[in-house]
Amino acid sequence: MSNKTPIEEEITRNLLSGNEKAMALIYDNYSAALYGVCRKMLLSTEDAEEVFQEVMVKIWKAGKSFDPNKARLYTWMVNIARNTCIDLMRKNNRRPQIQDTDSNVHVIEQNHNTEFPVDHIGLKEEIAKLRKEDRNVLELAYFSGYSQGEIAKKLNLPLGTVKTRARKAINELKTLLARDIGR
Amino acid sequence: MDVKKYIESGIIDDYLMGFVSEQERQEVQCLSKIYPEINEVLRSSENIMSTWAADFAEAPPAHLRAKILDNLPPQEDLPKQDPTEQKEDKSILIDFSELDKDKDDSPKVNYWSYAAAIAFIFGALMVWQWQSARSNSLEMKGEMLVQQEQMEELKNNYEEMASSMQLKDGLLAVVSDPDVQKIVMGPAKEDMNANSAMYWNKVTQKAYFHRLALPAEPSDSQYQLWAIVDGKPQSLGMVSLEENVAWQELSTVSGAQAFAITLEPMGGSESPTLENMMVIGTVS
Repeated sequence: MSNKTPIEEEITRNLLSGNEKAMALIYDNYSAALYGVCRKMLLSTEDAEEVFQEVMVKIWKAGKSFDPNKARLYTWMVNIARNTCIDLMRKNNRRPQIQDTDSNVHVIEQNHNTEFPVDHIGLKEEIAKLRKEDRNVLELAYFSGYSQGEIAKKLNLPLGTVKTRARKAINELKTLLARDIGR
Repeated sequence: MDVKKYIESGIIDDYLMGFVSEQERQEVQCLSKIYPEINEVLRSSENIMSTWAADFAEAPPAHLRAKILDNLPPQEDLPKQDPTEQKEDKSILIDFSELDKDKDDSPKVNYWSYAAAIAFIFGALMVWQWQSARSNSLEMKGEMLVQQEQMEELKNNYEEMASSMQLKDGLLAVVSDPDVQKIVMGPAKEDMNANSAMYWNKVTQKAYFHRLALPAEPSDSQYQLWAIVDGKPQSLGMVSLEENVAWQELSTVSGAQAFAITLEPMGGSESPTLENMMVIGTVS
């Protein structure tokens, strides 16, 4: 990947050599992004805190298996966070209520933390350009783990429209964010 | 397999969203290991999604930092070689010079050498066959996936067309009814580019709305429909935010003198915000 930041390189070096400094660096640079994913997916602060700790431990334990040629460090960590949240959701058979999605976005947007090192000046403005209906479907799929059929049922939409909207949102995100991930 | 077609089918994005069957999931994972182009698209889409996730960043409670960093368990050591990788097979080693030796010299050794040679050739054939069958089956799976995607795309198009036809049938039935009057709603201000139409059945008093050209709503606002009855505004409900919904059946209204649309906060208002009036049309 050509878009590694110097901090990602430093973390990767420490992670692969088993130096605990990696975790301090990860915490200071990415904890807001990773905790944000947990909060977004789980809603309950208690669960989010617990899972966030679990995620950090997982990152550390599996650190030596991280391959910088195969994935970007940040994406690898977000995937761990997402999978850990989905595991808990499945275990508890509990998901955030569908109507909470929008209100929750606004609360979290207000708490938005600028510690995150990816240069995403204007990211929020760009994301706000996404059509709300399209973004909603994408959030339900990506963060709440709902299936296509479940989203169709909950939003009372034809199955095909759910997929069309989600794809539309992803494609727009690709156009909007291409700059931010340096492609 | 047509990798380009496979990528264009959009299945990689569906995979990221979890909109795929278990079989499709395994296939995307498998094909991404075989074809670097597929892997590249998958990684790039994953990066997009994780960058998007940063939009929800929120600082964790401060006390967690020390709690996590002071209690790190030992890191897991990795085996030198990936246990899932196939190791070089050294179990069959044959000395072919044995085959040329005189029969009387050592018949037992010769017999085993022949057997080993046959076993080796047979084994090599088996491996070759297995590999070619495996690559054929992977290619076929890829083609099947592309075709499944195309079928689904067609099905979606058909569903959309069918619902659009249904809508048009309804529209036709309403507008061709002699009791129905069309009320054109023109721009409320001269420089506005907006117009819509209302269809009102004076007998059944049912009203229908046709969105012709209204500017897209700002994200926190919604258009609200009003009927003016005895000089007073009466809400007829909200203009749908749904994409492709241009035709709406409204509640009944009696004695309407005019119809209008205003831009209101999401969910609507008790009374119209007159300065945000978009279109208006009077009943002749």
